[in-house]
Amino acid sequence: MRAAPLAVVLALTAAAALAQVEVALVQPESGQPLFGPVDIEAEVYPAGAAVRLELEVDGELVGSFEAPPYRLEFDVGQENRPHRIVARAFGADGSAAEYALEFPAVRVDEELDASLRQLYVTVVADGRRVLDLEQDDLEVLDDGSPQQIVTFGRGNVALAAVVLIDASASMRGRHLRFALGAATEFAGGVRQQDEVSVQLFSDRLKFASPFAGERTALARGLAEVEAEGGTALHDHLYRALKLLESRQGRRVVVLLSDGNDSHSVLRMVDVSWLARRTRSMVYWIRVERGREVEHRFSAWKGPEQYQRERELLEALVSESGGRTVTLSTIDAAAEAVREVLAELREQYVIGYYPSNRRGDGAWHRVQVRVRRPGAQPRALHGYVDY
Amino acid sequence: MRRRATRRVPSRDRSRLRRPPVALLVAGLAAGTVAAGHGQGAEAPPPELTAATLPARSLERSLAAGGALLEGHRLRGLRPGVVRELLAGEPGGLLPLSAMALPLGGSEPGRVVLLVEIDGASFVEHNRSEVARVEAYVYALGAGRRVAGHLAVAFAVDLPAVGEGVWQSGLKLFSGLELPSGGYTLRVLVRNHDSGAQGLAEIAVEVPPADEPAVLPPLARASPGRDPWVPVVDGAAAVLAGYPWRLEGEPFVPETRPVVASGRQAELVVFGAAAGSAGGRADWLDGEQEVASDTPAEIAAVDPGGGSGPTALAVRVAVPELPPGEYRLRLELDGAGGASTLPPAPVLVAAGDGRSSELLWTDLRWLIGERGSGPELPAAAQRLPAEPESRRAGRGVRQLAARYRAIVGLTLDDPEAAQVRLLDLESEVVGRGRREALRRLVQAELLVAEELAARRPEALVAVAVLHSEMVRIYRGRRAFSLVFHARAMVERLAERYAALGGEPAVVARLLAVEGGELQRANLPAGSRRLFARALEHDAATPAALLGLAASLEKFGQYAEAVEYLEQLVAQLPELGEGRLRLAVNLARTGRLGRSREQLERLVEAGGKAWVRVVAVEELARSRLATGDPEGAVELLEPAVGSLPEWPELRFLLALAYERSGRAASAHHQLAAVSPRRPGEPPSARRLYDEWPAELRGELRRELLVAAERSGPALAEALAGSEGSGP
Repeated sequence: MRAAPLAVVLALTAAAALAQVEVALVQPESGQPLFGPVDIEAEVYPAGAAVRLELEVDGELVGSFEAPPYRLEFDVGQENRPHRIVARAFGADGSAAEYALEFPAVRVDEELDASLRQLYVTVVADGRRVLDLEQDDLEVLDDGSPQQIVTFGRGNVALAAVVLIDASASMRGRHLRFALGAATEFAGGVRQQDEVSVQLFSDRLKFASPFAGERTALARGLAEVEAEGGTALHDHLYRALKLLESRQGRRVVVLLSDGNDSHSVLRMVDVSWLARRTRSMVYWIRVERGREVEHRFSAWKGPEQYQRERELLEALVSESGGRTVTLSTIDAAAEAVREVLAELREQYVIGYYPSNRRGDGAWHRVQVRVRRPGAQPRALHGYVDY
Repeated sequence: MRRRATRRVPSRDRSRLRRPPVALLVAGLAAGTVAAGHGQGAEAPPPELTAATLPARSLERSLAAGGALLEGHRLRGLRPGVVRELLAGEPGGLLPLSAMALPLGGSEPGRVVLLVEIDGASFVEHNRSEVARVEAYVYALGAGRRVAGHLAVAFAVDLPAVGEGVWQSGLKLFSGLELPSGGYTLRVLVRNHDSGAQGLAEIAVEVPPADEPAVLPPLARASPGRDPWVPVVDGAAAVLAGYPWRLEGEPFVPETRPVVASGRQAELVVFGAAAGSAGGRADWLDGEQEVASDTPAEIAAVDPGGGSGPTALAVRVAVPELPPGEYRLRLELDGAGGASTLPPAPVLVAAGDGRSSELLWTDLRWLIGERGSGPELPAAAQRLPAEPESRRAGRGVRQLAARYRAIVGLTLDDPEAAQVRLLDLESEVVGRGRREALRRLVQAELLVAEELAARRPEALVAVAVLHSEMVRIYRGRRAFSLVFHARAMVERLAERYAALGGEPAVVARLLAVEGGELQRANLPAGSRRLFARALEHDAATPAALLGLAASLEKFGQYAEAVEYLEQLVAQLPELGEGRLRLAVNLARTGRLGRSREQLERLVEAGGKAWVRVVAVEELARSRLATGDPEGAVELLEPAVGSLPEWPELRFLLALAYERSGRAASAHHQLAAVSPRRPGEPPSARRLYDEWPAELRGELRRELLVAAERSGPALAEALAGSEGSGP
């Protein structure tokens, strides 16, 4: 009697083996524009049912496999154009299945004044910020071409910032208390010309102060928030970036979270794309919860997906010119926020008119170099050319 | 099978190896059930784990001094998660630990006994396999965070055999280190090899020079009745020979963080200090290290040690009426040479509720708020013999059986009164905190059940439902040891009823309702087992189909989930949650067309709002995935209008607008999202992530009806059973 569930499973497996082959593309995630090298991966159902699998990009056969993994890297180029990826599987029984995904080009029909590119650059040597650089010490390359720097300054650009705090159940108790302390720390450092909003989220938005440049308005009502619920990090990071898009100044998100998203309807790739578009800097004050991550499950994703999404978030942060500050203990949150604020106030602000601007929505890679031994710059990795 | 492990030690370290000061023990609650493997060396790789078989083994272990910084120490070969945690050193984790390091003194390097207690309920909860494989790492950090010694231990715990004991008393690792004299921080990390759950604790130890005695804090003995130790090496006597801490001739292992009940007496043991003392004072220090209270301490017994160990004093202290929580207990004892103040020992003060003089360990932990969810036991640990050995039942068992029989009889006239009386009986027995008492209770209850079943098997249904109701009552009272007992009774009675040819549908419902309870307590492994067994008895049990599918889904077994959900939807086509989960999992397994059909039916059919919200989202996402943002907008715009209390639809609509080049509309949607107001629901995706609840209530109602139906059979069986007469 007790062996029955196993028998059920075996019977189902046997049935699956006779089923027609089906195929799906699991990478890249659909919907976003594609540039450069792209990981393409397909899966076949039932596993092992395909004798051959082909991958096609924009009508061109780019890979053929006789066994899993059905995975390859393919460079789709830097041109802003739509792409179509097709996976085609052929079963031993003569059946065939096809799965196609569309990847749109970037829409360039919006009117944006983006002729002057501004870069916010932090330079570090021996673990300390370098604050005595002159314009000639810095060099900017746009898609590999050296650019003429036309404006140069340090630290006096107003902030348009969102301090975004995870207030889900995992932040209960002292975690939230210290996180709110960190938010208050940030609010205490804002200036009148800044526009800052403090926002707390779980699987729902829990608190949102108006954009303001003074501490009292930012902190009002903050202490009453309690940590509870799930986590929709992607949704609320997306919202924060979108709200910043319409604001002038240096756009910054300071995110305080463990980076684990369980309940968003949006995916990290959706957020990454918006971050690129809005040219916002993202600083992630990462609340380390390593012990729990390795075996985190939800009905929406498994440990591998959690891991992948955290890596994407880390990549987004790096690409944006911000950085990830990992806290070994939540007690250090306020200090970390103070340090981020100091960094923002001391950044170099460089302006240049791209010599190779085409307005075609293509991705431009930006590199900043420092002509001083041992000095390492950190800035936005690139932008979309509107 | 017994096996002896070998330890790999680089040749340059061999000269520093010494005979281990004490053997390794890993303790569970029942004999022969824990297996351990491997030792360590300064350069040794992490322990090689093997799936342990019975009986238990322990192996050589030792110390080797290193001297490198922890960061520079060769953590090569350890899992990244282990390295990260060891370097971070932040106490906590999913496996709560407490640890104690006690220097023995009298040698150089000094021998240090290490005790690590792992919270049993958490251990069981975060385990994924029947044989739990465990790794423990200990790093002794000296001045400048230099590694003075470390060890790695692997062992396996056969949970079907000792699950109950582990759950109730926890796992105890007993090991040792050799360290040069000086002050150290010991960083202790324990990891479940299969689930990855980890816990970390950090403790300080001061190793005295060889010519100075070790001064120890007062120690608390693990209650032998509650906490029997199982030596993992060849016999307890061999292990404990030379073990210095004895009282009245018996070696004992101290508790790392004893629990004492407010307003009661507690007994502690003091070694090698305050000879000739007649008593003294106990200071109870709070978190600020201020004296929260002081109470008298009196000497209850003196054990001169008989030349085999230091003099031991049994000291009795009154526990003050303090708020429950963590304290440090500092003893000051008068003696011939003046007063001795001992290093403080950590203690947990729990509320004394007057129920029993010895509260159960797990209950105490609840009282001080250490635990967040109820316990779960692996399958085999819950089983006791279905056939009670009635002939050998002693007088105590017969008396309990008589009381239990009367309570069962009361269910016919007044079920609520029967529940109250059963609560009194079981609390009284289990509250004594002795396993033997619990065993007698189970024996008595099964004895009566067997008598009834022999006359009318259907009578077991009413009895099983009584215990099923008790599960919920005990859970409400947070009496988790009784929850466990009640659930185990339901399971035993259901299986017995099935074996006697009982109605499969009733058996399945009895098991499924308990599976649902376990799932609700977020204990998926146990619930899956019960759901699966329910389906063995009746493959058409909706709550079991849905519960099992949700569990499989949560652990990434989408194809298996689909199979159960197909059956469920065929049976209950109107159950929206079942169809939604089917659609989501069909998409995950590549069957997009069928998934879409299901989702469209849900959107059109109405039904629960959160189910519709997720259905709309999934449909919209599929349109976005196929490059049709306008199609997604068409779907989402009316949904945002008709389901305004679900802002997540706005997030997706904003994305669809963005993809359609309508950035301003996207901004407008997101700006309209406002903070959640009281009374508003959580997000639909979070509701989906919770365990299914819709069918649980119905299941319980069905069982109450079944119990009522079996009333006449119970009355008849009772009329003829032993002790039924006046």
